[in-house]
Amino acid sequence: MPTNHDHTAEAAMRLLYANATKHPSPEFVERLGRSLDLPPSHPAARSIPLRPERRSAPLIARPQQFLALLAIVVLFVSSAAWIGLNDLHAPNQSTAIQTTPGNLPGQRWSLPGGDRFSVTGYAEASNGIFYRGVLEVFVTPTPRSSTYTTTFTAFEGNTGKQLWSRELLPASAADSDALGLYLAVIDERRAASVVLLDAETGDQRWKADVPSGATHLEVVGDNVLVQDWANHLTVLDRKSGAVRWQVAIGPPSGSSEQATIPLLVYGAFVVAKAPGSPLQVLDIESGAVVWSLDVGDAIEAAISNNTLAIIRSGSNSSEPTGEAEQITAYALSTGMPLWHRELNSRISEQIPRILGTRSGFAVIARQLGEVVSDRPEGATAAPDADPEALMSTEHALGKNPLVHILFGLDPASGATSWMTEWAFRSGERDRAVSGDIAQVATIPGTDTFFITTLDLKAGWLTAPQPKFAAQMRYPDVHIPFAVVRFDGTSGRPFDIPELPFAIVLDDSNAYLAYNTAGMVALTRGDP
Amino acid sequence: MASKTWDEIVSPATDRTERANRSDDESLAQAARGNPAAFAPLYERYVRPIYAYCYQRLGSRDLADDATSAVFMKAFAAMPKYRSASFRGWLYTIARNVITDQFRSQTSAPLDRATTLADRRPDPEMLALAGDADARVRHLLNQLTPEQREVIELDLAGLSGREIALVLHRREGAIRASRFRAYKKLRTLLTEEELRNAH
Repeated sequence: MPTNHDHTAEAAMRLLYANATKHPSPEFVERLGRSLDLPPSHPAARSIPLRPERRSAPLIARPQQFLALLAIVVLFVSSAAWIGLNDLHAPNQSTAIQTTPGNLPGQRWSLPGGDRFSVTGYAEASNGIFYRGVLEVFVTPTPRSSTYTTTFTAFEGNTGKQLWSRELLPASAADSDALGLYLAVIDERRAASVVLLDAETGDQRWKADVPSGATHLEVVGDNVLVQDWANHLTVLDRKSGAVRWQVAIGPPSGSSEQATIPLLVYGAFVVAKAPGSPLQVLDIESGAVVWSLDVGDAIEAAISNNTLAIIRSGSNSSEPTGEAEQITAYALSTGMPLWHRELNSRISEQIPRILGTRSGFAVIARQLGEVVSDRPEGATAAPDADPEALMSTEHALGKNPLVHILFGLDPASGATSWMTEWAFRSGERDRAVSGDIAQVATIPGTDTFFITTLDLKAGWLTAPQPKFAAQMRYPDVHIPFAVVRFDGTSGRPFDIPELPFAIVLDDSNAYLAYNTAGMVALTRGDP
Repeated sequence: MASKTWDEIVSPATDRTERANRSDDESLAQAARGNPAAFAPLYERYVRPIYAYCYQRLGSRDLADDATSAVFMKAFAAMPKYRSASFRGWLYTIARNVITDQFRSQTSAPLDRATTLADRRPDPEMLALAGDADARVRHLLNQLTPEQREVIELDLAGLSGREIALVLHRREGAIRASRFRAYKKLRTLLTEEELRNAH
């Protein structure tokens, strides 16, 4: 393997390249910085889009407080698993986005979303009620001051009828069940609490203080689990809000950095991990540590059939090494290692996702290169079983590099149980654009999981399936409200491919398709 | 445009700054996951190199503007979920994908030809004769295989072999091999004057 090359040629090329390098115009750099809403410290910064008139007295007047507000905005959006980016940097425009009811398969009703001054956050659904949160920001330019409100609205799932609407403090996490909507909120003094809003009326049923802003909130059985920025795990009684137990799962971070893996709950066990701390498996009744393990830079985790599977980055080094990512499975109740696999995919824009379904694990890896690794014999990569699949995948890669490889893993052995390739495409065959994955979710207790993309299309897959037989419904449906925006100053289409889109599941018989432009209720239609 | 000398390009001070920048990329990227303020220095640091890379691949300012905008919008949107090992590698991966999408939107040709479709400008050889350094670089890169060209473009953009492997999803050894063969080929294409200027 050659390791050296012609340094004279390299030097000459670098010299030529340096002299040929084109720089963007200062105006372009400033304009793009503005469109990203970079904070005031940046020379190109500007505020969150200005609403024409301020509705209430300013709460925030200093830059530090303004940055804190920005952090809340980002936390609000990111914790809801998708980004309202188009609302954060929408250009001046007059074209309003309207829903187009009636042309999405299974559509029941639709409602318009917020405007460009608002960020649509939470989508929750439970017991036939859909919930939506909208964060609105009001800014005056001179002197710069900001205030904000968060409005949560409940809709009747079958008809779209609004049940109630409440204006609240900014929230950082949410979940729902038959009792109502659980929200982790932060007040103006950064004090954090969890509230329960009644499903039928929106009235506050209880409020419980928690140590800091929540990064995760899960309602499981009679417990409300809250993981916060300071790396506490607090468990509340869902009916009264009383604290059942509280433990530290890592040293206080003092920042809004989220845990490296999400909070997982399965039966009597809670799996939690704070950045830089060991993974802990806790007893949900007492908070006692059942077992813990240093899993390093674990990046994803899921549970299926009492098996905990963890994806680790291929290297703990801050420098990429080209090493494959690894999946290691442990017995959930004891921590005993069960099996270990290596993936061939390399970290790219998206890390592999792993989901736990009723029957096994589903791994979703974005593939741009080789499908089968050249690792030493005995350490082959998954998926590794079928040459036909490899050929098929290579063909797909030739057409479209944004192909995702999906495969199922047997929880007991780690063996590859199914495999398929998947991508959303739009347009003509050779002009296809495929989408990045925005959201993945499992319907609890089933083998069905969802993927939503950043390309405005939705589909579902059922797993496990025989190889190459994964089903996809609505394979090429444009969500009707996801229209292209136009820049009102130039008439140019403001085509943001990643216009956010998400689906939430109701436990009755409907889905709620959702983005910042609107919401649509769909008949569930499971096979 | 004033020409740079080789010493100006690879001066130790520049190298130290580069290393320092890279060392705090990851901490800034981690901070930017929860706070958009931390994205500002990353934007400042990379908007120009990414633009230069996009321009090199796409060959026009309009397309480079569009691509650079898309890269940073995607990156900004994805920051809360950023968990890569290298911010720079991650950002160039996005750039490469955006450029690929731009090729798709412009042509109905199969995607595997996309890397050869970059240059829509006048004959690069003619422009090279007119002293256009950009066209000269483009002409030289067009003599390489698509794989070699992608490696060299990222190499010239300053990425390490590991980062290039990350972006292209190839083994680091394969990157080294492509790089070796590409510079060997370029050695035969560069003029004596160009080689002399490098010393």
